[in-house]
Amino acid sequence: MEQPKFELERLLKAKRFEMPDEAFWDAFDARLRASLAEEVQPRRVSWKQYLGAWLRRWSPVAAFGLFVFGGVCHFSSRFSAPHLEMCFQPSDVRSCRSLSFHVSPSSGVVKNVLKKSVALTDGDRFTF
Amino acid sequence: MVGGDEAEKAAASDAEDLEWLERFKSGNRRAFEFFVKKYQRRLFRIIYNMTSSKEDTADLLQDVFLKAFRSIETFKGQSKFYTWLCRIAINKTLDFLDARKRKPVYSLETWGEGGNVAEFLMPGENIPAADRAVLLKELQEKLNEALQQLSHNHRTVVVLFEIEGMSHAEIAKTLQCSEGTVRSRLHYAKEQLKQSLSRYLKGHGTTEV
Repeated sequence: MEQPKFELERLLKAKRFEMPDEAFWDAFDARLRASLAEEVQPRRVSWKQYLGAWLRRWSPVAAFGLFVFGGVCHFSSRFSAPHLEMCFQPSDVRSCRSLSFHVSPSSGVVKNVLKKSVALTDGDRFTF
Repeated sequence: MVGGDEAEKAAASDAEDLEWLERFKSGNRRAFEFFVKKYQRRLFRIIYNMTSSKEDTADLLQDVFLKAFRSIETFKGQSKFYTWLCRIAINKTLDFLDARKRKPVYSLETWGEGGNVAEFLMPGENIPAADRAVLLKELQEKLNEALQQLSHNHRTVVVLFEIEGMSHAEIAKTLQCSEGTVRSRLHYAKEQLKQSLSRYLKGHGTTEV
């Protein structure tokens, strides 16, 4: 059999016949109509979305605030260490039976001072 | 060249678009369905022939209409409404093709054994039904392969001119390039297609017996 030959343009025009059936278009229209309806309706925001949006907006500020606060605490406790040392001279605490006070755990300087104080006070008990 | 009747039809169609656009802009959101009904098949053909995938085309066409719906207020009437819509479709499709890293999965609408395509391609040919079906299937596959071998830009021009029947000027407006560029891309693309499909074209290749 001799194979028929075609014009390129006619072959390309035949691509116009490649069109899906009506069932495809029905499904397409239904899906598009649903999407368009969503576009038109005002969106209801749940409390989770609201909270998420709030956190997204303010969490950088909160993180920065915490960082600044941490820095201030750190440096203020460092600079306050000499004051503590002055307050608790061995001669002052020798006569106490019990002593309790609050100290920042981040301050290595303060801890060292307190240890020295404990070593100097034989027999007395300190609760830190 | 567009004939007198066709020019009149095109003008009437543009006027109709503007009328529905006004209805949409005045608050009748359902007026958008007019554009969907009117243009969905034409846009389908463009996207489908660029992607060769029915499923991808359905998704892209949804995106095109949604984008048009959201940004219809930005349409200032400097071009035809269809040209604007077509530009959205082509940009979306080109973005999709650029991003498609995986090997494309083609899913085509079949030309079928008989019916319109056979009549269109082989009018009056006395070919047995079984042979005709085999030939049509083979032709469709080879044509698709050849189209997919073209670069995205060349394929776009071929689809718009040869399949969609747009003029050089319309394509130039849609793609926002010069008519010369359109003509040169079209010429190059057709040369490529002729090479790939030489077996099946008049005046090319050998005749199989």
